[in-house]
Amino acid sequence: MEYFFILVFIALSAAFVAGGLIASRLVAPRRPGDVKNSPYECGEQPIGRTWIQFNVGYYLFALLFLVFDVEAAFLYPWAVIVREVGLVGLIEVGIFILVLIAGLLYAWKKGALEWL
Amino acid sequence: MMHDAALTVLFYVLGAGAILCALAVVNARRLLRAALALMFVLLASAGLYLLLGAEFLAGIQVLVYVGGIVILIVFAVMLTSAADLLEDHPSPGRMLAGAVASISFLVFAGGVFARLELAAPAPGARPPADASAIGRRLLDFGSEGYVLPFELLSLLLLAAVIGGIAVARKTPPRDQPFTSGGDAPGEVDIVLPRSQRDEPEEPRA
Repeated sequence: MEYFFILVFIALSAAFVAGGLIASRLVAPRRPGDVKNSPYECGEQPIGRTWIQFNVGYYLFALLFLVFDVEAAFLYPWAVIVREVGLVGLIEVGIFILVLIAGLLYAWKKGALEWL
Repeated sequence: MMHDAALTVLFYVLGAGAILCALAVVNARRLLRAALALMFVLLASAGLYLLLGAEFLAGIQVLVYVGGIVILIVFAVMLTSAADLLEDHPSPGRMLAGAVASISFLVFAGGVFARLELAAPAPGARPPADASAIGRRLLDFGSEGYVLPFELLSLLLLAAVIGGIAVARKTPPRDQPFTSGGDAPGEVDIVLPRSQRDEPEEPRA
Protein backbone atom coordinates (compact mmCIF):
# COMPACT_ATOMS: atom_id res chain seq x y z
CA MET A 1 0.00 0.00 0.00
CA GLU A 2 2.92 2.31 0.65
CA TYR A 3 3.65 2.06 -3.06
CA PHE A 4 0.21 3.29 -4.05
CA PHE A 5 1.47 6.83 -4.48
CA ILE A 6 4.33 5.69 -6.65
CA LEU A 7 1.77 4.00 -8.87
CA VAL A 8 -0.22 7.24 -9.02
CA PHE A 9 2.99 9.08 -9.82
CA ILE A 10 3.85 6.70 -12.68
CA ALA A 11 0.32 6.91 -14.07
CA LEU A 12 0.29 10.71 -13.89
CA SER A 13 3.70 11.09 -15.51
CA ALA A 14 2.74 8.71 -18.32
CA ALA A 15 -0.47 10.66 -18.83
CA PHE A 16 1.51 13.92 -18.84
CA VAL A 17 3.82 12.75 -21.62
CA ALA A 18 1.05 11.10 -23.63
CA GLY A 19 -1.16 14.16 -23.22
CA GLY A 20 1.53 16.45 -24.58
CA LEU A 21 2.14 14.23 -27.59
CA ILE A 22 -1.56 13.80 -28.34
CA ALA A 23 -2.35 17.48 -27.88
CA SER A 24 0.44 18.56 -30.24
CA ARG A 25 -0.71 16.01 -32.79
CA LEU A 26 -4.25 17.34 -32.62
CA VAL A 27 -3.47 21.03 -32.54
CA ALA A 28 -0.15 21.62 -34.32
CA PRO A 29 -0.21 22.40 -38.05
CA ARG A 30 1.68 19.95 -40.24
CA ARG A 31 3.40 21.17 -43.39
CA PRO A 32 6.15 18.68 -44.11
CA GLY A 33 8.74 19.51 -46.75
CA ASP A 34 11.97 18.09 -48.05
CA VAL A 35 14.05 20.22 -45.74
CA LYS A 36 11.89 19.55 -42.71
CA ASN A 37 11.95 15.80 -43.30
CA SER A 38 15.71 15.59 -43.60
CA PRO A 39 17.56 14.36 -40.51
CA TYR A 40 18.88 17.16 -38.35
CA GLU A 41 22.64 17.19 -38.17
CA CYS A 42 23.37 20.48 -36.44
CA GLY A 43 22.58 22.45 -39.57
CA GLU A 44 25.03 20.52 -41.73
CA GLN A 45 24.03 18.70 -44.88
CA PRO A 46 23.38 15.11 -43.82
CA ILE A 47 25.97 12.71 -45.20
CA GLY A 48 25.44 9.01 -45.70
CA ARG A 49 23.08 6.78 -43.83
CA THR A 50 21.77 7.40 -40.35
CA TRP A 51 23.08 4.06 -39.16
CA ILE A 52 26.71 4.23 -38.17
CA GLN A 53 28.76 1.78 -36.25
CA PHE A 54 29.55 3.14 -32.83
CA ASN A 55 32.90 3.06 -31.19
CA VAL A 56 33.50 -0.21 -29.38
CA GLY A 57 34.64 1.85 -26.42
CA TYR A 58 31.04 2.53 -25.50
CA TYR A 59 30.43 -1.18 -25.10
CA LEU A 60 33.45 -1.66 -22.89
CA PHE A 61 32.42 1.18 -20.64
CA ALA A 62 28.86 -0.13 -20.45
CA LEU A 63 30.17 -3.57 -19.56
CA LEU A 64 32.45 -2.27 -16.84
CA PHE A 65 29.64 -0.11 -15.52
CA LEU A 66 27.37 -3.13 -15.36
CA VAL A 67 29.87 -5.24 -13.44
CA PHE A 68 30.40 -2.57 -10.82
CA ASP A 69 26.68 -1.86 -10.78
CA VAL A 70 26.09 -5.46 -9.74
CA GLU A 71 28.90 -5.16 -7.21
CA ALA A 72 27.28 -2.09 -5.67
CA ALA A 73 23.95 -3.90 -5.56
CA PHE A 74 25.54 -6.67 -3.50
CA LEU A 75 27.25 -4.21 -1.18
CA TYR A 76 23.93 -2.66 -0.28
CA PRO A 77 22.65 -5.48 1.98
CA TRP A 78 25.99 -5.46 3.75
CA ALA A 79 25.89 -1.70 4.24
CA VAL A 80 22.54 -1.98 6.00
CA ILE A 81 23.92 -4.31 8.67
CA VAL A 82 27.54 -3.17 8.70
CA ARG A 83 27.60 -2.57 12.48
CA GLU A 84 25.94 -5.87 13.21
CA VAL A 85 28.37 -8.07 11.25
CA GLY A 86 31.45 -6.09 12.23
CA LEU A 87 34.96 -7.13 11.27
CA VAL A 88 34.00 -10.54 9.86
CA GLY A 89 31.60 -8.94 7.42
CA LEU A 90 34.21 -6.37 6.49
CA ILE A 91 36.72 -9.11 5.64
CA GLU A 92 34.18 -11.04 3.60
CA VAL A 93 33.24 -7.96 1.61
CA GLY A 94 36.91 -7.03 1.36
CA ILE A 95 37.67 -10.31 -0.41
CA PHE A 96 34.71 -9.73 -2.70
CA ILE A 97 35.94 -6.26 -3.63
CA LEU A 98 39.58 -7.33 -3.98
CA VAL A 99 38.67 -9.86 -6.66
CA LEU A 100 36.79 -7.19 -8.54
CA ILE A 101 39.65 -4.74 -8.20
CA ALA A 102 41.74 -7.33 -10.01
CA GLY A 103 39.25 -7.04 -12.85
CA LEU A 104 39.46 -3.27 -12.79
CA LEU A 105 43.26 -3.45 -12.88
CA TYR A 106 43.07 -5.84 -15.82
CA ALA A 107 40.78 -3.45 -17.69
CA TRP A 108 43.11 -0.58 -16.84
CA LYS A 109 46.18 -2.48 -17.96
CA LYS A 110 44.52 -3.47 -21.22
CA GLY A 111 43.71 0.16 -21.90
CA ALA A 112 39.97 -0.36 -21.81
CA LEU A 113 39.60 2.76 -19.70
CA GLU A 114 41.35 4.99 -22.20
CA TRP A 115 39.20 6.92 -24.56
CA LEU A 116 40.72 6.87 -27.99
CA MET B 1 -11.03 -6.99 1.01
CA MET B 2 -11.05 -4.04 -1.35
CA HIS B 3 -7.32 -3.80 -0.92
CA ASP B 4 -6.75 -7.44 -1.86
CA ALA B 5 -8.94 -7.07 -4.93
CA ALA B 6 -6.93 -4.06 -6.06
CA LEU B 7 -3.69 -6.00 -5.62
CA THR B 8 -5.08 -8.91 -7.63
CA VAL B 9 -6.13 -6.58 -10.43
CA LEU B 10 -2.70 -4.97 -10.36
CA PHE B 11 -1.05 -8.41 -10.53
CA TYR B 12 -2.99 -9.34 -13.65
CA VAL B 13 -2.40 -5.94 -15.25
CA LEU B 14 1.35 -6.22 -14.68
CA GLY B 15 1.44 -9.84 -15.82
CA ALA B 16 -0.52 -9.11 -18.98
CA GLY B 17 1.67 -6.07 -19.64
CA ALA B 18 4.81 -8.17 -19.25
CA ILE B 19 3.51 -10.82 -21.65
CA LEU B 20 2.37 -8.28 -24.24
CA CYS B 21 5.70 -6.46 -24.11
CA ALA B 22 7.53 -9.78 -24.36
CA LEU B 23 5.57 -10.54 -27.52
CA ALA B 24 6.54 -7.09 -28.79
CA VAL B 25 10.20 -7.94 -28.12
CA VAL B 26 10.14 -10.92 -30.44
CA ASN B 27 7.85 -9.39 -33.03
CA ALA B 28 9.37 -5.92 -33.36
CA ARG B 29 10.79 -5.22 -36.80
CA ARG B 30 13.36 -2.83 -35.41
CA LEU B 31 15.94 -3.93 -32.90
CA LEU B 32 15.82 -0.75 -30.85
CA ARG B 33 12.06 -1.06 -30.45
CA ALA B 34 12.60 -4.61 -29.27
CA ALA B 35 15.08 -3.32 -26.71
CA LEU B 36 12.58 -0.70 -25.53
CA ALA B 37 9.89 -3.35 -25.18
CA LEU B 38 12.34 -5.49 -23.21
CA MET B 39 12.76 -2.57 -20.83
CA PHE B 40 9.03 -2.57 -20.18
CA VAL B 41 9.02 -6.34 -19.63
CA LEU B 42 11.69 -5.92 -16.97
CA LEU B 43 9.87 -2.99 -15.37
CA ALA B 44 6.64 -4.96 -15.23
CA SER B 45 8.42 -7.86 -13.56
CA ALA B 46 9.93 -5.41 -11.07
CA GLY B 47 6.35 -4.41 -10.28
CA LEU B 48 5.47 -8.09 -9.79
CA TYR B 49 8.37 -8.47 -7.35
CA LEU B 50 7.05 -5.49 -5.42
CA LEU B 51 3.63 -7.11 -5.22
CA LEU B 52 5.30 -10.18 -3.76
CA GLY B 53 6.96 -8.04 -1.11
CA ALA B 54 10.46 -8.50 -2.51
CA GLU B 55 11.40 -4.85 -2.41
CA PHE B 56 15.12 -5.33 -2.58
CA LEU B 57 14.83 -7.60 -5.59
CA ALA B 58 12.58 -5.06 -7.32
CA GLY B 59 15.15 -2.34 -6.70
CA ILE B 60 17.94 -4.51 -8.07
CA GLN B 61 15.79 -5.37 -11.07
CA VAL B 62 15.40 -1.70 -11.95
CA LEU B 63 18.99 -0.81 -11.11
CA VAL B 64 20.77 -3.66 -12.86
CA TYR B 65 18.43 -4.95 -15.53
CA VAL B 66 16.60 -1.82 -16.63
CA GLY B 67 19.48 0.53 -15.99
CA GLY B 68 22.31 -1.73 -17.07
CA ILE B 69 21.45 -4.75 -19.19
CA VAL B 70 19.09 -2.90 -21.51
CA ILE B 71 21.67 -0.17 -22.04
CA LEU B 72 24.25 -2.83 -22.82
CA ILE B 73 21.90 -4.39 -25.35
CA VAL B 74 21.27 -1.02 -26.97
CA PHE B 75 25.02 -0.46 -27.24
CA ALA B 76 25.46 -3.92 -28.71
CA VAL B 77 22.82 -3.11 -31.32
CA MET B 78 24.53 0.16 -32.15
CA LEU B 79 27.86 -1.60 -32.48
CA THR B 80 26.59 -3.86 -35.21
CA SER B 81 27.47 -2.60 -38.63
CA ALA B 82 24.35 -3.72 -40.46
CA ALA B 83 21.04 -2.05 -39.72
CA ASP B 84 19.09 -4.69 -41.57
CA LEU B 85 19.71 -7.50 -39.16
CA LEU B 86 16.10 -8.58 -39.16
CA GLU B 87 15.39 -10.41 -42.35
CA ASP B 88 11.96 -10.23 -43.85
CA HIS B 89 12.17 -13.80 -45.02
CA PRO B 90 14.66 -15.75 -42.97
CA SER B 91 16.09 -18.80 -44.64
CA PRO B 92 14.50 -22.17 -43.71
CA GLY B 93 17.68 -23.20 -41.95
CA ARG B 94 17.51 -20.23 -39.62
CA MET B 95 13.82 -20.72 -38.96
CA LEU B 96 14.51 -24.34 -38.11
CA ALA B 97 17.40 -23.38 -35.82
CA GLY B 98 15.22 -20.80 -34.10
CA ALA B 99 12.39 -23.28 -33.64
CA VAL B 100 14.75 -25.90 -32.21
CA ALA B 101 16.29 -23.39 -29.82
CA SER B 102 12.99 -22.03 -28.56
CA ILE B 103 11.30 -25.42 -28.23
CA SER B 104 14.25 -26.91 -26.37
CA PHE B 105 14.26 -23.94 -24.01
CA LEU B 106 10.53 -24.39 -23.45
CA VAL B 107 11.01 -28.08 -22.68
CA PHE B 108 13.94 -27.33 -20.37
CA ALA B 109 12.11 -24.58 -18.51
CA GLY B 110 8.97 -26.67 -18.26
CA GLY B 111 10.99 -29.62 -16.95
CA VAL B 112 12.66 -27.49 -14.28
CA PHE B 113 9.34 -25.99 -13.28
CA ALA B 114 7.65 -29.39 -13.08
CA ARG B 115 10.39 -30.84 -10.88
CA LEU B 116 10.56 -27.83 -8.62
CA GLU B 117 8.93 -28.48 -5.28
CA LEU B 118 8.00 -25.16 -3.87
CA ALA B 119 6.44 -25.30 -0.46
CA ALA B 120 3.30 -23.22 -0.54
CA PRO B 121 3.68 -20.52 2.08
CA ALA B 122 0.94 -19.97 4.58
CA PRO B 123 -1.42 -17.27 3.36
CA GLY B 124 -0.08 -13.87 4.28
CA ALA B 125 3.22 -15.24 5.59
CA ARG B 126 6.23 -13.87 3.80
CA PRO B 127 9.88 -14.63 4.41
CA PRO B 128 11.82 -11.60 5.55
CA ALA B 129 13.04 -10.10 2.29
CA ASP B 130 14.29 -6.68 3.32
CA ALA B 131 17.89 -5.74 2.70
CA SER B 132 19.10 -6.42 6.24
CA ALA B 133 17.68 -9.98 6.21
CA ILE B 134 19.32 -10.60 2.86
CA GLY B 135 22.59 -9.18 4.16
CA ARG B 136 22.55 -11.47 7.21
CA ARG B 137 22.02 -14.55 5.05
CA LEU B 138 24.55 -13.39 2.49
CA LEU B 139 27.39 -12.99 4.97
CA ASP B 140 26.50 -15.94 7.21
CA PHE B 141 29.06 -18.75 7.55
CA GLY B 142 26.58 -21.33 8.75
CA SER B 143 24.71 -23.93 6.73
CA GLU B 144 21.91 -21.42 6.13
CA GLY B 145 24.33 -18.79 4.89
CA TYR B 146 25.45 -17.87 1.42
CA VAL B 147 28.93 -16.52 1.98
CA LEU B 148 30.58 -18.94 -0.46
CA PRO B 149 28.23 -18.12 -3.36
CA PHE B 150 28.72 -14.46 -2.48
CA GLU B 151 32.49 -14.75 -2.85
CA LEU B 152 32.19 -16.92 -5.94
CA LEU B 153 30.01 -14.23 -7.43
CA SER B 154 32.96 -11.86 -7.47
CA LEU B 155 34.87 -14.43 -9.52
CA LEU B 156 31.94 -14.62 -11.93
CA LEU B 157 31.96 -10.85 -12.29
CA LEU B 158 35.72 -10.94 -12.79
CA ALA B 159 35.26 -13.48 -15.56
CA ALA B 160 32.66 -11.18 -17.11
CA VAL B 161 35.07 -8.25 -17.12
CA ILE B 162 37.91 -10.23 -18.64
CA GLY B 163 35.71 -12.03 -21.14
CA GLY B 164 34.02 -8.81 -22.21
CA ILE B 165 37.33 -7.06 -22.78
CA ALA B 166 38.73 -10.03 -24.65
CA VAL B 167 35.71 -10.22 -26.92
CA ALA B 168 35.13 -6.52 -27.47
CA ARG B 169 38.74 -5.62 -28.05
CA LYS B 170 39.92 -7.15 -31.22
CA THR B 171 43.44 -6.04 -30.76
CA PRO B 172 44.32 -3.23 -33.18
CA PRO B 173 47.72 -2.93 -34.78
CA ARG B 174 50.30 -1.39 -32.50
CA ASP B 175 49.99 2.34 -31.85
CA GLN B 176 46.71 2.49 -33.65
CA PRO B 177 43.64 3.42 -31.71
CA PHE B 178 40.21 1.97 -32.16
CA THR B 179 38.16 3.78 -34.71
CA SER B 180 34.51 4.30 -35.03
CA GLY B 181 33.01 3.14 -38.23
CA GLY B 182 32.54 5.38 -41.23
CA ASP B 183 29.24 6.27 -42.74
CA ALA B 184 28.94 3.18 -44.87
CA PRO B 185 29.32 -0.31 -43.44
CA GLY B 186 32.88 -1.46 -43.70
CA GLU B 187 34.19 2.06 -44.16
CA VAL B 188 36.55 3.20 -41.48
CA ASP B 189 37.43 6.70 -40.41
CA ILE B 190 41.05 7.59 -40.89
CA VAL B 191 42.57 8.39 -37.54
CA LEU B 192 45.86 10.22 -37.48
CA PRO B 193 48.54 9.02 -35.08
CA ARG B 194 48.46 11.02 -31.90
CA SER B 195 51.60 12.96 -32.79
CA GLN B 196 50.00 14.31 -35.97
CA ARG B 197 46.76 15.42 -34.46
CA ASP B 198 46.27 19.13 -34.05
CA GLU B 199 44.26 19.00 -30.88
CA PRO B 200 43.00 16.43 -28.43
CA GLU B 201 40.16 14.56 -29.97
CA GLU B 202 36.72 15.22 -28.57
CA PRO B 203 34.72 12.22 -27.49
CA ARG B 204 32.51 11.15 -30.32
CA ALA B 205 28.83 11.50 -29.84
